Amino acid sequence: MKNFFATPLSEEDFKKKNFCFETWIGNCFYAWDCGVAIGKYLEGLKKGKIIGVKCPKCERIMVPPRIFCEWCFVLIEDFVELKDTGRINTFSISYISWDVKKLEKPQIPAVIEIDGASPGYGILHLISEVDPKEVKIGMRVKAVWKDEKEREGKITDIKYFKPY
Amino acid sequence: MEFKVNKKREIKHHLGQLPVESLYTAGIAGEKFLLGLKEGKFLANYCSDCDFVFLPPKLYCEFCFKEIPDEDWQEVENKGILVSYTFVHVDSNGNKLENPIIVGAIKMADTDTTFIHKLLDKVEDIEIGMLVEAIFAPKERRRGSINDIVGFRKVE
Amino acid sequence: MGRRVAIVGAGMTKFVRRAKETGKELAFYAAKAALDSCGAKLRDIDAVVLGSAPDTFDGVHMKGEYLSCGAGAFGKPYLRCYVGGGTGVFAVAVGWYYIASGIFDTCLVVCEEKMSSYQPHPQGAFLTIFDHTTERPLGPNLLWIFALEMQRYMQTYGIKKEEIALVAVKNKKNALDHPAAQIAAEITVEDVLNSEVLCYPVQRLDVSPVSDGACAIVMTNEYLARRFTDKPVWVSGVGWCLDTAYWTNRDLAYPRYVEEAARMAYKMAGIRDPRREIDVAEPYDPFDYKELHHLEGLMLCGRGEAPQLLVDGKTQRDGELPVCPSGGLLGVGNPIAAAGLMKVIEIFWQLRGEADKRQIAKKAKRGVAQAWGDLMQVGTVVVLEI
Repeated sequence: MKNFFATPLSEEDFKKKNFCFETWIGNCFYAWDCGVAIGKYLEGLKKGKIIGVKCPKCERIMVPPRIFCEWCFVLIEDFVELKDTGRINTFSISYISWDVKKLEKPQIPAVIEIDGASPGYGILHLISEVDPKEVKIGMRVKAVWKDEKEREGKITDIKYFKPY
Repeated sequence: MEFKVNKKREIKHHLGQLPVESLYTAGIAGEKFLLGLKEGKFLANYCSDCDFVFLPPKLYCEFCFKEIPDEDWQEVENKGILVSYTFVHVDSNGNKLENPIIVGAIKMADTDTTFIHKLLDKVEDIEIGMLVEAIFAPKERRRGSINDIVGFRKVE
Repeated sequence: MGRRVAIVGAGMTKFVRRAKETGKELAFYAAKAALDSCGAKLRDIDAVVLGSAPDTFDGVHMKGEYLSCGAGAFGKPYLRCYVGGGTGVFAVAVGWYYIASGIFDTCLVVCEEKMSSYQPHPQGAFLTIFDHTTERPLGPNLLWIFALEMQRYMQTYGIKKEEIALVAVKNKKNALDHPAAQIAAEITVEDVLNSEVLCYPVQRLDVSPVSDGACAIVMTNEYLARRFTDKPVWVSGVGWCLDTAYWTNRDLAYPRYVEEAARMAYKMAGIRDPRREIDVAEPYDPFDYKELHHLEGLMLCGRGEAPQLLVDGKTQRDGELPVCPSGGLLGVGNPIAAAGLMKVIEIFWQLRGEADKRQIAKKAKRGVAQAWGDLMQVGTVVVLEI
């Protein structure tokens, strides 16, 4: 029996399609329900605020918000308004897109610990208005919001975070 | 249990899309079969241990897990018996089709499997047990695909 | 804990970037090779476990059912399992509890992946890993999570890129001796540091490739093991653990979920001092820094101390704790589910002295294989001994 066997095709083969193939494009359109907690989070973003929650048992203040504490497994009903400033926990500089194409301008994704939440609790967002070489872990940043009229209740209501 | 959380939400859902585009190879056995269709031939293969003829042919017999050797491939005649059929009135999004598509399950001569394809006859002419044959696309339009067969038609 | 379970046979396909074979055919090659390696027939198998990543890669809905005949499951009890990249080792844990419970005597575990179907690039299929509402609108790509984790790990312990690059150099070199390897090569630390920066600090040579491939093993109980082989390898410990999906709420510098999984496996195996009692390790290395990260999670060294082991040469094949003698994902390839099983198979061959040119210098009695996946969440660990 063949061990360690497979028939490789090259990138060239895939471009020339010199083998029998079929293609399919899936129409995957979704209407994702935000849920109770994220719904409130997005409403907060529309108003220019970052909303978190507090667990009644362990008293952690968490963001993004959730209606149950995954440690204590109790219902959370207290929503807390947090600041729109924070500290960079970790960051990266991305030169490629999701489908591995080169980006014109590099993106700076980061995990930002939000002021007002328990230590280590942050959200994923982008950093801008800074030279990528200057970005450091521990840097203090502030949200840059879209104009009130343009906000839709999406995570992109915050355009990015910038140092301050 | 009554939840205090705000049930009257303004923002209920978020719309989005998942990009999925796939390119499927036919496989080792599949490619041989499709190149056969391109030539206007039906190629099947035979597991001698299980006494079973596969159409479309497979690299291995799924019953005994034997790898079917090249010498057990054979051409089968282009004729078969209709064993089942259906009239399809809606498309995959649930929209009504003007004319129903007729899909048939055909037992090709000397094989032990059912072959699925479209039927080209009129609705009123379809009956189980009828003799059918594959109608191939013109040679220049065949590319090694299941659609090299346009459909099956009753043999008069 | 129930019946003793052994691995008695193994087989795999070559790992390639794009395979002509369909997923079914790949699964068949691996399953048949595993059966043939120990003289087993399909009728000897009572149940089949299949590990395979999301349907999106192959573009086939209900991939488990689709692959079942290629995995030898016709007419048999069949289970498909998936925990991200952790699947390859988790599937072994599933096979273990099938047999330890006594419900089945012999089990075939198959892991398959055909990522090349996804266009334009399989990395795009991972987009769904990000939350659709709070993360995807930012336009993320898969490398973000690795880059963010790598950055945090390097910063927390003051680890230099040069030290991490040594993993890529070691593993790609080790893979030159692996018959299934996709991208084995002789490279230097400079090559890694000069390679294209994809998502700082991740560079091209830090990353394992996209692959198509399949692996399979035959598992059985203590009563039947010697019917198949005179060198059964015993599964003495299994462990798995899943951390929270709120990945921005935990410290990425340490994989605590790998530690939890390792504790579970070590406890079962009766291991008190992993560093002294484990002879060879195959931690999951989709990125070079992950080998170090996971060595620490497996408690084979202290936190932040893995780079020193590497620099001192202790993790080479002739060192005191060989790590990834197979060449790992960086050298052999990364078909998501099959990669983890490839590591288990490597430990299997190492313990039996059947790893050919990859055989480590010391006599190994006990080894550990570990895999990792999802949103940096799951740790799956298996301890094998002979």
